[in-house]
Amino acid sequence: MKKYAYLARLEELLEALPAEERQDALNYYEEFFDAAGADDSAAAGLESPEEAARKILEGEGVAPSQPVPPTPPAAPEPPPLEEPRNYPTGGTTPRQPPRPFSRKGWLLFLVVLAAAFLVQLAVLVLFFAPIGGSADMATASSVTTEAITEYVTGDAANLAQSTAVTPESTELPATGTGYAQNMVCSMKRGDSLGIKLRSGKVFLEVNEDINDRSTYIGVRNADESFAVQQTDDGDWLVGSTDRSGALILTVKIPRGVLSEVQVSLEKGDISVMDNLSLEELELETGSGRITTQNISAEDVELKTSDGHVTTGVVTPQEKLKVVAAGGAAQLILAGNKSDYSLYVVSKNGVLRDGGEQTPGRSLKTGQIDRPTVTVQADGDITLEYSGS
Amino acid sequence: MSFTTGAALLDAIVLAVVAREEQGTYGYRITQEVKQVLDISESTLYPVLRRLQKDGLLTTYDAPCNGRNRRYYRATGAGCTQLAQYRAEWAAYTDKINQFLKGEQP
Repeated sequence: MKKYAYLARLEELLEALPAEERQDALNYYEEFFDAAGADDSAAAGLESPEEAARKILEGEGVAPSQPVPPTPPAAPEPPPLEEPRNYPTGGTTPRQPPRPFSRKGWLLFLVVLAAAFLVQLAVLVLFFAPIGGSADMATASSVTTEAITEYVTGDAANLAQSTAVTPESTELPATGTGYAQNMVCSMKRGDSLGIKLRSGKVFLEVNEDINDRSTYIGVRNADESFAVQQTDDGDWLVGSTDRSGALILTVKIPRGVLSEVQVSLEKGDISVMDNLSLEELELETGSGRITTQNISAEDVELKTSDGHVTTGVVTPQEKLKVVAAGGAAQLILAGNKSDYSLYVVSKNGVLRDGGEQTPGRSLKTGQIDRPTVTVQADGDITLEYSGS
Repeated sequence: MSFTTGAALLDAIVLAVVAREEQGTYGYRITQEVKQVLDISESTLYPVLRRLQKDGLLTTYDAPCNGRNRRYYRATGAGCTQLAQYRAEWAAYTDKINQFLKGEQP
């Protein structure tokens, strides 16, 4: 069937749909013809408009306004390859209102699902029976749904635990090997992103495309073991669900969209690869190195219990706190020394301030109404000022 | 194939296909990619995309292509969350089934 004849027929068959939904469907099919580079529906790999319309109407929960001629949902002799009941979309069973269950109804639904689950288990045992394998499709899909409902709580608990528990020693696997997977999530302005891992490495990058609001999360060395979640407050959580593995994450955030980024590792390095500008940045690792490019934020916290901290030019509008409990700290502050209220202490190392070695190990300047900068390190501290 | 692909599994596959593209992806391509794994038609996929959109798991934007608009689909935050859940659930599910079908020890 030619493209325009096909679309015209489809439009006719979708009469029962609201105009907007009908237009969406027609656009989709027209696009499909174009993308396939074909003017003929068979060449484009499309089913008949009748079949397409039937599934669209089913999906939208709309009954055809008039009997559409070739609509045999229960016909025993459908086309052999495109047998619709082989891939149920859930449209044939009561999917009219997809979500609006009452709480009671939902509980009832879960009970039914649990029962269905048992039935399905029994069916699965018999999978190899010659024809007995044609399991009822409604049962098949409800099993998965039911199990997922259970999973939600389990996973949230896992994420919460992953930082609460004290670290055990875990060797980082070599980079660049293992399972790779990527994920892209759209963000809204003001969203915050939290990354909590037990063990691994985090590379923060910035996507400079101002039209692109997605956060890209690339994972190396992951074995199905990470989760991305958005809490009710709009906070994002990336965490490992598998407590034994070390994840290497590359997180590319959109420029100027997120208000707050928080990375918390029990063990591993955190590297900010691009210049960052946001309201609040908090990087924390139990053991590892923190390295950043230029940072501009109201509030910056960089903490490692065992490792070095090295920054590009930091512009803290209110507060900067750096802790390198087992290592050295090397910082560049935007502007001049007099722009800040400083409190700097090196426990066992040398303090270099503005390129000059100081006789003592601590430094304190009490400027009023200036951003406060606190730096504590076990080893050497080097402070530089971009303005001088 | 004797095994059926339920609605939830189809949702999971489509979410996975969409979420792995940094710029999102469009209907025809989604169909082609899913077809590599499953014997499925575009008319089955359209309602799936609509449903995922209505449930807030996918979002769309239109971008010009050859003088026309092409609709791109991307995973939302809720979509990513759902996909992560599907992945973990699928791993647990296949482990259990493999105990029967492959005789693996739990």
